Amino acid sequence: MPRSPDVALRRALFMTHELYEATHGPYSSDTETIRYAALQAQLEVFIGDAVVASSYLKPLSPRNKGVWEIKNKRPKPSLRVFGLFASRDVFIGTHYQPRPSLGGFGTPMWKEQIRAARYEWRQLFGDTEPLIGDLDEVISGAVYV
Amino acid sequence: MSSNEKIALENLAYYRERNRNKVYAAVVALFSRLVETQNITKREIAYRLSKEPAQITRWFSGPSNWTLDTVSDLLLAMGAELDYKDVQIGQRISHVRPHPLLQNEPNKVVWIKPKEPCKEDKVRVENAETGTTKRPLLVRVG
Repeated sequence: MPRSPDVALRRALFMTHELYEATHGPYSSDTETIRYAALQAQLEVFIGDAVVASSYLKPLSPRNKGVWEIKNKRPKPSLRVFGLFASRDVFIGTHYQPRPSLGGFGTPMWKEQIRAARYEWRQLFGDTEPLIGDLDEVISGAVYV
Repeated sequence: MSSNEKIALENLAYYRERNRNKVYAAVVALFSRLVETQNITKREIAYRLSKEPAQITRWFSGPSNWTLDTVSDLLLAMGAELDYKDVQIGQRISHVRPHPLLQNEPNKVVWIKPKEPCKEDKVRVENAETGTTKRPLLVRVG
């Protein structure tokens, strides 16, 4: 559930157990505590914000795989949470990676994130395909910046 | 939050990020409205602030490097400023209708388990079971 009681419940965010454990503690250092508390707040933007900017949530290429990334740039290291949409406003977070480990766009590491996200998806939903579409088709309140 | 307690580090970090995101959302929402109503562009904002358009694009890519001055400049370039209003935590009145999947016991962690493998099957939400030994595959965060 959202950490703040003031987060509106506009959209549903689900995570794999592994992603939840990785991002919700307990943590072994103050640095980790700060890092993942910021990530929690960032993920709650999806849940509660009236407006979700195109800078926040981006589709990975090729788009027909239906994998998206949520960005959280600060504090360092920048993180990316990957997932797919079960339906409009329902995001399934599958895993995350530190941005520095991914390299340039289109590199094998990015393809690996798509593969990993799709794998987790299939474990949960089998042959059912995720929702494919533009930002304003997969979430309400989308704005392009 | 008791005034006699020290604030935990994770809460400090969480609310700092939350504050950054709120400010960013306000600026982005305004920009989006002005794009629709006035056809404003980032290039125009850049001109008004004597900045390169690339700088405005960088600013709009996220609140990570924003300062209070950045916020003020962007808003002023769009003919606006923020109206700050304090709200006690936990006392905000929300008129937002919860997402259908979150309407029942919204503050409860819900473990989601797929049914036995079936080609046509879809995941169903089940109530949390205490003492279960089977590890759930999905956790609802919000």
